[in-house]
Amino acid sequence: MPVQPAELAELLALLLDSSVEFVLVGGGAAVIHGAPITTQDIDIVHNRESANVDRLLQVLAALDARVVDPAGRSLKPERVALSGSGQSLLRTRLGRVDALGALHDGRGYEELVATAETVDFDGRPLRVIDLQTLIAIKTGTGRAKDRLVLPVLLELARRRAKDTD
Amino acid sequence: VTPNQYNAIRERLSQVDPDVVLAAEETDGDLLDWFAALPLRQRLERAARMAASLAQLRDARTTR
Repeated sequence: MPVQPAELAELLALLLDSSVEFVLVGGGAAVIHGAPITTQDIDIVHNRESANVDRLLQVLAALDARVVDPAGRSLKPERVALSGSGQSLLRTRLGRVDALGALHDGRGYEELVATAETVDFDGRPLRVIDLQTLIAIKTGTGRAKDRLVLPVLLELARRRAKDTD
Repeated sequence: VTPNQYNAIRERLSQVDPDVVLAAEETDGDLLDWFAALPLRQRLERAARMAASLAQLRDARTTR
């Protein structure tokens, strides 16, 4: 049976239309910056204020989200997890969403939004982690999959620098 | 990204992982140009389709 591609654009649009405050990070951010790589999920660092977690939970409920659970249990996303600095790895009917309270280096929404780039996503303002920070983070993880993306990100940075020169 | 910022990023990567800097110089510029010309929605859709194709290949390999 063919593997269905995740509907990541629809997922993002739904989050934005629901006024969920977040910064797009990870592979999705690299793609938005122009990296022709594969990605099967959306990684976000969300604002952990109570009202925003409420909005995020509403969207996730509408998407029948369940926690990715190695034991195979059907667990709904929990407010306490989304309010903390950890990761909620979620499966939805449109694709995977990794909702991060903070990045591995501790940077949360407030830190990331200060330097994030805002792009127009089908008429909606989408905040994306800036390229410089994305490169720094992917350099710091030490993961093989991040190392593979770094040459492309570095070349994108070179091109941008050339454009601003 | 300003030229100074780029130089700082490149310098740091040269120290941490010089192979990444070498690989960046060999990146397919035509592919980047083509991808950059796509609307953002299409970039995400293509990235997800490529991921699904790879998953399909992996499944086929493991079930053969």
